[in-house]
Amino acid sequence: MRGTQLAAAQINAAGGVQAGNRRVRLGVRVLDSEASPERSAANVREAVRLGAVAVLDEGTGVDASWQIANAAGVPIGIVYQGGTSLVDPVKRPNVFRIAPTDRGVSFRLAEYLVPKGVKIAILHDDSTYGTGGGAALAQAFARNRSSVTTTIAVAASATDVSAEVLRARRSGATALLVWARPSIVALAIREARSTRWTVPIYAATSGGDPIVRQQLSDHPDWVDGLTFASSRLTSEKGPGPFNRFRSAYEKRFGVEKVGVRSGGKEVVQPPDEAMYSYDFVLVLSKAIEAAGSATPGPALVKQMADVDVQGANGDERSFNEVNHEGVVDDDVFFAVLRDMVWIPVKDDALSASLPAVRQTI
Amino acid sequence: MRRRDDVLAMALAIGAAVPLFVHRGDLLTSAAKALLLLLAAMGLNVAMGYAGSPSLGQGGFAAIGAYTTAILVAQHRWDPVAAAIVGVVFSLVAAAVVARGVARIRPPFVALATWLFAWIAALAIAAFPSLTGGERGVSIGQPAVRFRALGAGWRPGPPAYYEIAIVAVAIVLVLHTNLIRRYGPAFAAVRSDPAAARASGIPVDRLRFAALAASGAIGGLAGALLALNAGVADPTSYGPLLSVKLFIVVLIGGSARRLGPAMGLIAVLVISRAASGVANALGSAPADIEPIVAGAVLAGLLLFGGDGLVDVFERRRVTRRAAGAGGPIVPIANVFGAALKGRDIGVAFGGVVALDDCSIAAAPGTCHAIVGPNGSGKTTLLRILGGAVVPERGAVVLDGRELPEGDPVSRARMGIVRTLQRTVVQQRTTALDYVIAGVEARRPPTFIRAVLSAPSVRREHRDVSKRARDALAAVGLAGVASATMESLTGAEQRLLQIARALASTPRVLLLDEPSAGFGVDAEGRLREVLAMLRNAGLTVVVVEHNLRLVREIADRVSVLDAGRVIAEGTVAEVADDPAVRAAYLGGEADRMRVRATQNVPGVPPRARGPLRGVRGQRSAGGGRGDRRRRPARASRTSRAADRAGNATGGRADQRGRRRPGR
Repeated sequence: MRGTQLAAAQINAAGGVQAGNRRVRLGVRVLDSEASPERSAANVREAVRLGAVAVLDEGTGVDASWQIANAAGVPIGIVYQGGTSLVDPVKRPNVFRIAPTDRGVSFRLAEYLVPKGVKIAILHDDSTYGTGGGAALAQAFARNRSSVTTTIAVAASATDVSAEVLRARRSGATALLVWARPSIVALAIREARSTRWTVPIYAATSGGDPIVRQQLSDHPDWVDGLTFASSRLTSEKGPGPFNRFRSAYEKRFGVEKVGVRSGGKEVVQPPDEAMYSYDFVLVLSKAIEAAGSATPGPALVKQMADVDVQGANGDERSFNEVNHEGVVDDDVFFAVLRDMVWIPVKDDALSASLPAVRQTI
Repeated sequence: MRRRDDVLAMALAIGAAVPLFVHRGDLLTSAAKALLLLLAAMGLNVAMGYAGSPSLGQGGFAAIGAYTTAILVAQHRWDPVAAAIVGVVFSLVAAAVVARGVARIRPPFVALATWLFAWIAALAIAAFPSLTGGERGVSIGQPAVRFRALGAGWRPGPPAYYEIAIVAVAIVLVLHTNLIRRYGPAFAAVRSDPAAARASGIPVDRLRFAALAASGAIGGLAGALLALNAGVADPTSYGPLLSVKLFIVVLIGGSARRLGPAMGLIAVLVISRAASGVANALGSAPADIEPIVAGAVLAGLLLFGGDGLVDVFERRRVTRRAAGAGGPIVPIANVFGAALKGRDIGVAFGGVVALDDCSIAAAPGTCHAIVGPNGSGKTTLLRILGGAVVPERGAVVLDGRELPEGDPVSRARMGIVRTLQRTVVQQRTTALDYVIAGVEARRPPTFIRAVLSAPSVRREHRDVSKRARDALAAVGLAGVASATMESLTGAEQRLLQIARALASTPRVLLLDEPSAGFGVDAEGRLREVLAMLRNAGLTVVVVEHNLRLVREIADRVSVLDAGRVIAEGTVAEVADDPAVRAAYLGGEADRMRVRATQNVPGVPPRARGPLRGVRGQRSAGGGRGDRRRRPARASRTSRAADRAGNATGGRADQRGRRRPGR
């Protein structure tokens, strides 16, 4: 939401978007979907009624709402969920995504872990995020089945995962891979470490969520070594573009404190996820300019796939007719937590090339 | 009733006109959703309000309807209408299974069991994400097959408001004009006092079962249409949360009130809006504030009587009538009373022997009184005759045919109907409706015919009404037919119980202390009624403490003491019986005299007093209050009696040995 607001504010400050022969200002209306597909569909109806030029959604409600938006020529931008079925340029021409895909993250995890020769126990929750991840990992490890000792599902609302972690341990695993909501990741780490199971623990993107560190703040040593996958924050152009975006973001909204300390300093979270919605608005404004109209419709949807912009981290963000994914699968990197801050790992080529970003104040 | 029907018709007319004024698709979708929630709430009102079974499973039934429909449409390309029908059938089956399990249990456990069902449904949805879509639900999108019957289509854009409205209105009309009118009085009896309803022969369990099943099916229909309306079966929209919401809607509006769910829904929508305002002001999420506001409103209603908003807006309709306007006693047409016998009946509750080898015989067209001190087993005997208690030994014989073990409902169908000791007052129920419920005992199930409003059902309804009015006239209450029960005197309320029993056209009437609470004037009326019934040929068995009344109306009398018949005969015969005098007066001399006769050969068993326990002077009054186990330390007199019994192998001691520790 904040990325959207920041992008709109910057565009408006620069005079708005040139839509044909007039300049239009962008407005942002926040409608809470409450993680409900039905609510999401109702919100999209409301957005269409209000004449919205685009809808940003975390992804849960897109199955239910894309047709409503498509009928009105309104593009939808997914900025969190990575499920494969959400985006389909043929069937869902108005759905675009700027967020790491489950497929990209899972294949990068397989690519990273299989050469290590570890035996992996996979733990995922039953949320959309977790089940999607579980399915993607099954595909990613399909050619290396021997690397996986077991796959275990746990309720997303669970408050105790001891039985599941014990099963993972008894499977003979030498590594634990968790694809679940942050609270489940924290629970799994707590259970493993408190029972002196010292295997390396890996996580999908949720491993970098501040909640994991907050919930384990009583045992910082247990967080140490947690390796998670994330979309790169910096491009080949260096950290400059991201730092400029971050500076503007923190100037407008303040820093997001994690609530833990590292080396005596307060840990802050870089605005990584805000980057995606920010970039989507940049693409949208460029599409409006290209369409020559700020009125939603097929022309605007078409232009979404024809334009490209430089995103918050300096990467080029664009879609095309056959690919509505804004984050390239290869752009996933790995970071490891040390003393409550993360640093890119050194044993992965892409990650090793990335600079660390500031995480303390 | 007419005024409320007018309000309902007006509301439906306004609802039908919505699309004329509202052209926004999103508002029509919301309006259709409101209609469907109203439908689900009205369905819940059938079980919770009318039948008194507080179901918290409506969200689960809605979930079954919604998911079945969505899965069939989205994944199997079914026609939405066919899919919705299958969804309703699945919900009905689930509701029938749940209803089968909970129809006999008490309301708090009904709530608990149905609440568990709602959770099971929610957990099942979460457990099979490959089928149910997990958190993303099952999106219907644009069904391939349209709603051809009405020439319109289910569209993700403009909603099919009229289609939904037509279905909702049809269900509402069927519910109100057919089912509630048909079963309303019986439902009122069931929820007000199930025991009294059973005694009158009203099939309580069957009605509860039907209400819960119908409620679940309507919930399933609402769920199916909600999914079609929203374009998605959403896990957050169904299950326990929806159950609670609908429960609150019915409670706030007023359960068992026609307009209750509508009022409740409006109130909840207003609360929702208010909560949004409060949440915005406080910077909180509306979802956090809404339950607090709803809870506060609910608590307020409960504090002020808990009858719901309908009662707040609608002045309590207690129709009073001028004193003494009951009317004359109009004799009923001659009936063929049946001969009823209780043969060697024995039953014990725990360690207490309530009845032992107890026999009575009531001839057709006579009034047979059962008298005896408190705790002598009179009411137990009456309950056994009426089927409410199953005896351990002995049999009940009707016209020479031994009756199988049965419940009050089956006995009522055979013509044996009982009234209770206590007065039952059904709030907001007219005297006529109260009596109409009694007819249920002899009416065949007409659910489907009632739904279809078959001419035979309408004709039957007129007949039922006439029978009820005749029954009211028979007890001299024709003039208060439209008065609500709470406006009647205690004596009239008891006469009303007799009228309800008469409405089921019994052959044997079992009356438990009908004169309790009667003044002298009213007692005269009761005497007239009982005499008229007997003279009309009805067999009347009456448990009564009022010996003056017994003297005047009873043809024969059985005297019970400590679970045994100690005397039987005409009033004059039993009045002189020393055992009876001993039982009633409790004098030592009499007591000892009776004891001495207990085991004397040649003395008839009916003259033998069991002499168990300690008795003092007996007072009039009902109940089993002083039925008790053999005291650990008996009085000198009773210990002497025990010794006598032990020495001679008397029955008192035999009983004690037969049921050690019971």
